[in-house]
Amino acid sequence: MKSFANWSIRYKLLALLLLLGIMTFAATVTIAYLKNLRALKQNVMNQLTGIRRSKASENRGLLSDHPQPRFDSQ
Amino acid sequence: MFIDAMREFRTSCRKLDATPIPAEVPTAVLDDYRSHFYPEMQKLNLARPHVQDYLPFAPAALHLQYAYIVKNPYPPGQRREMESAGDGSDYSRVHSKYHRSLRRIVEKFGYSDLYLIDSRSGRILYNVNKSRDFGTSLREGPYRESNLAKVMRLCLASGNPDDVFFSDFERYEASWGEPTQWVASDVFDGHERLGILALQLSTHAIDDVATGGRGWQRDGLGLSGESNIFGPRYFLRTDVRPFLEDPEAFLAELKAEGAPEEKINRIRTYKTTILQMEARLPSVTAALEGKEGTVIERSPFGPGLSLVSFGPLNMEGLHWVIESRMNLDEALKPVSEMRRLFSWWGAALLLLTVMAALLMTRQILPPVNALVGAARKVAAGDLTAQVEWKWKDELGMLSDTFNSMTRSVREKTELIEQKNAENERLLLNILPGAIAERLKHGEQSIADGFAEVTVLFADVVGFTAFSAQTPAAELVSLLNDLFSRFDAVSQRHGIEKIKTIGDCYMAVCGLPKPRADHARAMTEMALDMLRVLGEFNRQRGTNLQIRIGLNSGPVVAGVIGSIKFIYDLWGDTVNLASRMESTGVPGAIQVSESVYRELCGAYKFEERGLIEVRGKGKLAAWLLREESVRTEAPAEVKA
Repeated sequence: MKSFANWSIRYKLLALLLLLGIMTFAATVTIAYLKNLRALKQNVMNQLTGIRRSKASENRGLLSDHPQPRFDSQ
Repeated sequence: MFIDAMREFRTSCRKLDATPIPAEVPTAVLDDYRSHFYPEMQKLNLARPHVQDYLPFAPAALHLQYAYIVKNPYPPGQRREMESAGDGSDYSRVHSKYHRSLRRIVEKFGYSDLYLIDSRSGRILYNVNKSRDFGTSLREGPYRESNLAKVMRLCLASGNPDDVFFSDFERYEASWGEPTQWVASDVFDGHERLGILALQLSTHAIDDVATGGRGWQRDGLGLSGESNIFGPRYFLRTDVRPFLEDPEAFLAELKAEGAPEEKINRIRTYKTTILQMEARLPSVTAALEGKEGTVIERSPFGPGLSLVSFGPLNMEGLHWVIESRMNLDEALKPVSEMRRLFSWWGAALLLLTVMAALLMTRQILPPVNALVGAARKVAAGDLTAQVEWKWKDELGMLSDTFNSMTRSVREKTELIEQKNAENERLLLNILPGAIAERLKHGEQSIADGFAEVTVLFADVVGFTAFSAQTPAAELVSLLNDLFSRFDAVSQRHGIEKIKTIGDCYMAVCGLPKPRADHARAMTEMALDMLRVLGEFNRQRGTNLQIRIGLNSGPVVAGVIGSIKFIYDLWGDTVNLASRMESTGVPGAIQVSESVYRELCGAYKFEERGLIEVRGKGKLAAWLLREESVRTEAPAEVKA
């Protein structure tokens, strides 16, 4: 196999462009992917937590706003 | 209303306590328990050891259960429809007075039942549904350990009419072990405690909150998510979504998973999973410890993993856990979609990158390749090679520069070739072609011996006197004209002119390429020179004469010196040829013996006898008769 020094300028140029393109692309994609992954997971968890808290609040309301004490006036 | 009802029910119950019990009543009550209640409890695997363990023993309780349960014409689930037992008792009067209103309260606010409990005796004075605890005492009766009895004791201990107490869910045996939750509060008339009002909460209320009225998707829980509440012992306090969506499928799945039959029966009977299912999960444990968070764990009520948000739910003395969970695949569907999106876009962008790289390479390389091709052509000698590249970038500039360079090289090469041709021509004027070639090929010293050549010397007679009378320029012009004509003659005969020395003309035949007819060819040239001279004199109006001497023999020919060198001859043959000229006759050709012997048969010679030759002594010499020429002109000489 030829060493890089012996490659034709065509393949050197191609390799350089590909290397630069792929490295830039890979770095961008990796960062974007990780950030999106974290954000999406956080979003899903926040959504579930929000639902849970909402349900908990409703349950507390269900019991604390019980109409029973007001039966006295009827 | 509650105060009045409480007073009246309590009074009427006391009257019942004082009423004698007909003999058939205990038996009928026992029979009813044996035939209806107890078998059901056994079927649900909740039955106590003996049916008597459930039996009321207070007279009022026996009266009430006989009148409102045993004799109730409605089936167990609809006993509330009966407004009065019609037995003429005071209780029945009070019952008919308040039952409709109390039932309406239950129905209006969505409770399962309403109890009026005497705070002193703990007796259940009234309930809407006429369950098996009707008339019994929560202090001493069969249900004294129930969650209703517990909440009653909380009320009694508090003594604050504003306090409201909730029980946790428990199986309530009086309702066939159905999970029940109670809310209870004291009923006071001023400072007088009359009793306790207890309400059985409907499981639907808490289910409605947990399921959002079965609107899981609307709540953001998708197709698999649900919110559930668990108690301290990991048992459910809500119905699970699969059960609510398709109870039979859920029960079938439970059965397939090996759940006990009685558990399945209870769920089917009570139509709820509350208290029937437990989930010992890390998330529930953590929430019971007061922690809050999110975790991925196995799904307790379905396949696969779930993403769970958990936290404690502490309220009104209850320590529960609330969880919202979704199937992990569904919860992370946006993540999967993002992965798929990234994959597709990644592949597309990668392809675009490769294509862009190829395109750029193709755009940049053609001029480079064209330059390489043109440079190769130039290296191979084609100086007309040009690179056509119209772009004005660095490669375009390089192409232009290359084209300029090749043009310049081509012009310089043409100039050099032109100069070389001139030099060649000059060199060939000085040297024989073969000798010039040898010098060009690097030979430093050339000295070749030739065995047989004929040397000619010709000298203008009386040139010294002539030159004294003639201007130098004219003299040179005249001499140049004459010798140029001699040069033409020598070229015609294929004879090498060696040099001119003043008015002397020297030539040789037979070198550098040896030839056999050297003497004959030289003789022909000498004759032609005499003829050319005659013609010259006629044209110029002069009367010049020349002496010509010929001699044949071996010579050494070569080039000496490094500058202004000439091709010259050395040897005795040359000297004798010169002597033949110097001792010759003007306008005649004098030859040596060697020439005479070679040509005596072909030409006419006149013997001059012996002549004195400097350095040689006396030698024989002959004069060539011009009129004898061409008797046998050799063909090769002409050629």
